[in-house]
Amino acid sequence: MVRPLLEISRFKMYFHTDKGVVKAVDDVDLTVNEGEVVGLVGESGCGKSVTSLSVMGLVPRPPGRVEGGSIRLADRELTHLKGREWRKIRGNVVSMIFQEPMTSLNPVFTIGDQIVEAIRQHRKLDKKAARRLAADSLQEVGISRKGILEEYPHQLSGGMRQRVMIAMAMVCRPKLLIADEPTTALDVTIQAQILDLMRRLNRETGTAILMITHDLGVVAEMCDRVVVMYAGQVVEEADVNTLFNQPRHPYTQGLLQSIPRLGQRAERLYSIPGNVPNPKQMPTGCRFAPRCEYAMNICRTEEPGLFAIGDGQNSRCWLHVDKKEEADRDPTTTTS
Amino acid sequence: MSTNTPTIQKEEQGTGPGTEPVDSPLRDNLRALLRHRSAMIGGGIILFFILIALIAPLLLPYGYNQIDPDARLQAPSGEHWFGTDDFGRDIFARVIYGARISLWVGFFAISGSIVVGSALGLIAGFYGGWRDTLISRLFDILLAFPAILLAIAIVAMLGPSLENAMYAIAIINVPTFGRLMRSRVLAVKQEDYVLAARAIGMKDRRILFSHILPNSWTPIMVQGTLGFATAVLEAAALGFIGMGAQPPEPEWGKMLSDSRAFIQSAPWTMVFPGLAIMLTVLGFNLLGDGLRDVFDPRMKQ
Repeated sequence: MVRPLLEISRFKMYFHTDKGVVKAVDDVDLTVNEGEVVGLVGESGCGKSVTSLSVMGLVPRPPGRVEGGSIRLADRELTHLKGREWRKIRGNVVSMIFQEPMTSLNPVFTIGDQIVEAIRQHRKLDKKAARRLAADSLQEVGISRKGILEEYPHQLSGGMRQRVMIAMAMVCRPKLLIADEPTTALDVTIQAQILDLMRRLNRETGTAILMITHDLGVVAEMCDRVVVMYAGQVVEEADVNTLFNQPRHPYTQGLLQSIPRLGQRAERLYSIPGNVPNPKQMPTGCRFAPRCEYAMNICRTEEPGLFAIGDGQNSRCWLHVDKKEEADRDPTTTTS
Repeated sequence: MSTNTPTIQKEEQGTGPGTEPVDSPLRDNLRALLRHRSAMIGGGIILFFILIALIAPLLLPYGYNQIDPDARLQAPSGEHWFGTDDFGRDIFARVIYGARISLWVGFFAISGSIVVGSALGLIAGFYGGWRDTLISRLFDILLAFPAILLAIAIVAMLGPSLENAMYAIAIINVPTFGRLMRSRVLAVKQEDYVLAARAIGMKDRRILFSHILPNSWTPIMVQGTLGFATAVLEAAALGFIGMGAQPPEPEWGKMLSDSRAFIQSAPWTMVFPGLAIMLTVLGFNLLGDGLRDVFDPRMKQ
């Protein structure tokens, strides 16, 4: 039976800057079940990174401020945690790997030292045992060469460094691994290896993965379920097959259409017209309405809720409102 | 930095058995420094001065304060290599003992500036907020005065002596290192590995000492070497106006000022201490420039 591991509900993270309030994450609901791989998809600046950093408690505050909602991880509320309690969770219950493996390792220490350091944050092991565990963890991510512990990051390729990052993130067996575009900076061949590795670790250790990406190919390959974000909100949520076969939100449809296909020579590549709205001046009503080819009058005046449309699929679009009653979790934003 | 460097070729190279012995980045830089010609010349000069300062008493037939009224203002000769001054003291001995004083003052003054400045810069850069405001304004105030004027004011307050001149030089150089460290910390703080360290639950203090500091100290080292030259000059300047070393200490700047009256009749009283100052400063500047070349990432490759 599936038990929710991470439950983000109605979470809002705003940035208070000199030039106004940026609603980076606005009313986001997101659930990751135990052992599940969930993709979080969206364009740059849609709030997916801020969402993930919020789960890690790594959003700089100020300027960031939690304006409401909750994040529950393994039955613990995270939004009120203080420094010490956060540190017990980071790396231990939830870990994160980053986009840029070339800069995610400290250039002045050896790989071994850095993994041992990660281990000793959470486990009371002596140096020797920690070092053995570090070697094991590297073996687990497919690096078994001798002497790797004594090597420096600059001696490794990007793919190897990302493996080291994964080993470091996984060494304390977190329940959730957040991967922020872990393959974007890598060669295509290495990308596939890293994705395979993550898939295998997910199966073997039961660690759930929240995969943040803008690459729908990665989503198709890796994820059980997908959450699509647009302008700080979740616009569609579905299991991976449903999303690819029957995308319901016009934005998701646009995203899928924009993927160039091999072997198909189109006159023009499709792109969604218009631009992402300025986060300081969100359009009233649906945030996608100015770019949406189906936009109706109501779209420009009232903000749609996240409507359940069956089979665990949700969509934030007025097009679906007559098909199913509005999802009960969102009574304030709609009046109809 | 290029982001697309990972190639299959590299991967194979790295995984091959029996890879060559591994060098730390520090060791690599050291080797590059040894190949840097002008840095080595500078280092040689400094080493030479350190050596003669260390073995000064063994080297000399005369004490630096050995007065010989019969041998006043003698020109350089086999007996007095650099000649004698108006008290008949051997200038060679005084210049060599002067190396002790100058290096000692330079070393302690700059070490003091580095320790205090780096600590303040670290705190300001890492924690930000009111601490940053307080420390940065303090630096601004110190920098608002011309350095040497401030040094004179400090010595005037503490009373003229070599030790107080050293404190003064240490104080006026604090903001240089403080600002350098602060800007470096602000940059390193944004690095992904700092975020990654936070993401594995590392404490602030630990991050500060194991990630930020080791990645911030190279410009401090470069600046420290260059600052050493400045400190030697400042000590000489304070000595020259009588705010530093007191007679009969053989401080180079003081020797210069004492020789003013004999510039024409006995130029060697001025030339040798002047040369000693120049060479020391040159040595540290050359070494400092070399260090900068080696550690500046833009110079790599």
